[in-house]
Amino acid sequence: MLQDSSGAVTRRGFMGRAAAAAFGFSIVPRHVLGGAGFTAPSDEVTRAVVGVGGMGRGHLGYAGARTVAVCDVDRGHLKQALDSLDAGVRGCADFREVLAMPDVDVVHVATPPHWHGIISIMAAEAGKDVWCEKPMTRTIGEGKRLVEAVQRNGRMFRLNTWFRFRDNFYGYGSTVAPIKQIVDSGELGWPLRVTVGTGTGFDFKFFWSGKTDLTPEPVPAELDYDFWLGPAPFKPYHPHRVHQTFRGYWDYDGGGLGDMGQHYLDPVQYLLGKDDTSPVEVEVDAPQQHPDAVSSWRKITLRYDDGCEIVLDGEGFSVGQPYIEGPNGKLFKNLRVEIKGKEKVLRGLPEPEPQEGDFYACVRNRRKFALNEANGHRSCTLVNLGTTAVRLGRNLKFDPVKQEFVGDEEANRLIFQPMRGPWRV
Amino acid sequence: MKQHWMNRFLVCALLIAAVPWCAAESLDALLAAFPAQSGAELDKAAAALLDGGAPLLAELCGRILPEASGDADLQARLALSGLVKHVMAPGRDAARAATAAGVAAAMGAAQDASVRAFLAAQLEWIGGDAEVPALAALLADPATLEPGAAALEAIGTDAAGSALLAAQEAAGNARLVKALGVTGYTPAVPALMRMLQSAGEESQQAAAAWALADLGTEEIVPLMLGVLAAPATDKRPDLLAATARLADRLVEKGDAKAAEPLYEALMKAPEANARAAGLGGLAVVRGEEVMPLLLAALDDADGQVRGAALMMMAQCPKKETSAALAKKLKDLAPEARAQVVAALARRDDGAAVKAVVAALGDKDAPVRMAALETLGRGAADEGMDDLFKMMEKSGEKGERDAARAALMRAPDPALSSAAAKRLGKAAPAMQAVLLGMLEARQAEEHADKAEKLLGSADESVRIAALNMLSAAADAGRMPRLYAALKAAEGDGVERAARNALAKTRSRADAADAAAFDATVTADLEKADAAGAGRLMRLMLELDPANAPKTLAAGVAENAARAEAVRLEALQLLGEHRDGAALSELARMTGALDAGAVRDAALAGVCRQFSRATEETPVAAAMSGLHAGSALRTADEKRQVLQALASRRTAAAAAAAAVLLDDAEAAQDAAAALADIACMKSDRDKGLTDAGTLAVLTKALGIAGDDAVRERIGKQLEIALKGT
Repeated sequence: MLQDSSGAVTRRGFMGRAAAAAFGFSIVPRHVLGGAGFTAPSDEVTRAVVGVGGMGRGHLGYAGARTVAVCDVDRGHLKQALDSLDAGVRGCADFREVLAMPDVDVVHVATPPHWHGIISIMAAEAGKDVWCEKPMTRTIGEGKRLVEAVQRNGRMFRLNTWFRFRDNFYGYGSTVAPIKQIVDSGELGWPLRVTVGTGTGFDFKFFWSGKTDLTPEPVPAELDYDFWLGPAPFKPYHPHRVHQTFRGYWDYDGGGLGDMGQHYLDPVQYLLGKDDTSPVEVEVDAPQQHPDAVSSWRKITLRYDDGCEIVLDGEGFSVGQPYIEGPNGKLFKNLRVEIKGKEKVLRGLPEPEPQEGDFYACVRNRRKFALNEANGHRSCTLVNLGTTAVRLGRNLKFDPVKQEFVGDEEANRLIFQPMRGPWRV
Repeated sequence: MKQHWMNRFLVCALLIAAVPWCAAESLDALLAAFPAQSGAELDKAAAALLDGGAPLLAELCGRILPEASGDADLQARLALSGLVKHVMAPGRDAARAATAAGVAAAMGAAQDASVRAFLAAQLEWIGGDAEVPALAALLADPATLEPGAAALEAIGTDAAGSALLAAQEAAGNARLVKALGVTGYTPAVPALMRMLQSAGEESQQAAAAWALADLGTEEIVPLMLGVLAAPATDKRPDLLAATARLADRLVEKGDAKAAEPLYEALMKAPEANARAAGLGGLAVVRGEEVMPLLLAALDDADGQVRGAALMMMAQCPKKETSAALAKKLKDLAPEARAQVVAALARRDDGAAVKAVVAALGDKDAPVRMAALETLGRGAADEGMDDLFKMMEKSGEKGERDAARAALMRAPDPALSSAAAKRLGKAAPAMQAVLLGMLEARQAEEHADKAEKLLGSADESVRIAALNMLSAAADAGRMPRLYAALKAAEGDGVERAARNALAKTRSRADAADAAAFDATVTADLEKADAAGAGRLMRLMLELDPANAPKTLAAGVAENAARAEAVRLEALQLLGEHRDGAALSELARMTGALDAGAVRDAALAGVCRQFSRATEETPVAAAMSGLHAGSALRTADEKRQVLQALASRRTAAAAAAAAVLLDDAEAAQDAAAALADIACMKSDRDKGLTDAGTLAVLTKALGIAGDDAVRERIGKQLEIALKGT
């Protein structure tokens, strides 16, 4: 609905419609539209990578752009990154310096997730395109704001997972494209249940659990810990909170589900054609969570309003189960298909709709990237619905239009969570 | 304020007086239920805590220790946070209020700031107006200001806003300014407006601008416009972004008219992204009436603005948008046309599809490519003829490939029928492409046309026809495919025919498959050397697991066959992917008399040892060779060990180790083990499993070569240190 009761066109309605139009817009930079009086700049895209401790080092190697700046609140990480790069690449500790650099086209956000929303939004407001690590945001509210900022400022955004358009994904044993063909064919029937767990090829990495006995330790001299915490509540320093093990703490991520969830769930959202909506229910079976440290869960079920379900298996019950099951058939790991009375289910199926899978090309030609802020926010919402239910230890109902929990004001306090200091979304 | 402190004192006094001496023991028993293992268990454990009433809650909160205490208060933290999760569920208002009151009281009594912060974090989830005074008290202490402000933000009521405003006016803190905006406390507007207008610190001014933007009231608009018009400061990016936020909030509240001047002001800003944001906002508030403005913006001097216009056009739901965009196409430069075509391709209305299909015939290559790369299934169906023409006639390979990819998005039976119809008149190269499309669609209704092309003079067409039939042929076509195999000239055709026969046979029923197998076996008995190789390769393809035994007995060990045929059979078995081949080769190595044929069997064993993908057949074969004394000389043993040495598995190590006890092969076995199991670089860990370490230890005691000893010794040292 684009208009409210007074007849005014609302941004939410407009943006919602935009998402429904299958990421239907494009923005053309100065050099692409050209025209009289313009000198086309080089086609070379430049980037700055914020967060170069773990994932960010991988971003330095992505082909297609030239790194002009790196940023990290850990001087050790910063030095290591700079040492690996050409002379002339600038380094800084404060990402706001990167946003002020006029020669940076794309900001790569490879920090821990509690920073993703803030930095991505500020980058979009500064006129930068954004390549953001998964999970896209730590809360549903941050995701809503990020979608607004990217679209209002006409920026390009990509989330750093790719299985909806490329590569065999994890243990499943196939790319998504042929699965999409089968799902789109309708041969499996509708609604569908998709099971994601070790039995169907996916591992939620429960070693990403936090510790509860964190006796404070001195902050290393090279780390600006206060900046590392940023919007997160202050907690005394302990090495297990930061760098390689931060995913085990609710303030920064959501354990293995936060780490791997969007990798596994974004393709499912694509397969089900749910890029513009969210589930209406989430059911959880999990032990009580520590207030600070993330631990394991057994089962999470995300249910859409048409009856489609995504079942996340955290304890191995999916062994031997189909990856996708519908009223008329089953699709197992490695693309094995069982469909009643059908032998050749791939027969006559058209290829899926085209997707843009080269982000730097999209930066140049301003076509919408396959996994962008709109559908990325929706697949991140799957993750955040799961982590919220696990954290609260109870089932929740969700309104996919308002993007709020239904009749549950207390749960809604987790949609937008307070941020420390000046940080905001 | 005085009344507040008195109230808090009274609550604390009552709670302390009510704590019975036995509460601690009772609480210990209750704490043992945490962490609960399920939602039901949590509800039960939390209900038990609630049964203890305020005294028990006070005792529980009193067990929370300062952060520096590590895990000493683990049970208490789990219990309190579990209770909070329990009471915050819908329908538990009374329990929530009682718990929040108890936590607030305990927070007021706590001495340590980190304890107060933990308790405030619980109130962030369950606090209400009643807890505002206790939380407001935290704002006066820098050590607890953050958790206090966070909890008040989460509560978000006028009472919370009032407390934040009072604290802000008393202390002047940017964190509290932000909280006022987040809370949505509109009575703070005058104070924030004064702050925005003040000539004070820029960060305070920016914080006030953001807070006012979050509050989103119409009275702020003139002031914000004035600030934007003032000379720029370092905080101008904040002010621009806050202006856009303010306008967005006004629109969300239904006051689009108030937002419009803000978007217009942004459009006049020199900053490109501000202008783009302004245009986007105007598209929202003016709805479909914005189209003339968007069209005009496509001619704007600034690329950001042109891009934003295009973005908004692509989003606009109005039907006429596609027609307007299509009409605009002719006025744009080629690259711009490409972008508009890409935007049109994302729209699913008829006018957009028509425009994209028309763009397939654009005179400029970038526009044609944009159409090819982005058109969806509907457009592929609509523009099928154009796409076939491009695929057939374009001078650019990239364009031909893109046209083919676009066609593959078209639905069947339309695509298959169209492709089949074109087969007869197409040039050979295009026939191969069309057959590939039919293969992908498994279009068995067009298999006749593919079969006819098996007689094509062009090899690529014959191969494509066989590939198509491999996907679509039924058992009735096996004789024709078999004839194609026997007539094949060149490896490519033979391979394609073999593949087609194997796949067609897999779809046949058991009787048809058995009959065909019998035909091939009978033909093999009569075949000359040239024909036999082709048939043996076919048999291995048709039945990988059983054919090795048939070929071993019927050909390799059959002295009546020509030696060349026997040698070829052994060569094929040495290259065969199924473990059954290795088993037969090992058996024949032990059974055959010395000579060229036996040498070929041993060579086949070695080839399999170095290339087999499975370990079990390797281990079984080595075991069989050793047990049957099939390896007759030291040189044969060395050959086998050298083949094994290229593997890097525990099974290979175990296989090589069987010769450690053989006096004439022991040194070669030790050397092979070193190759199999020891690290080859600093990054390589080598094999470290217990079984391999055991045989390495044995080899170390046997090896005479210093280099071998050193490698094995180093591997053992590092591996054992790791354990």
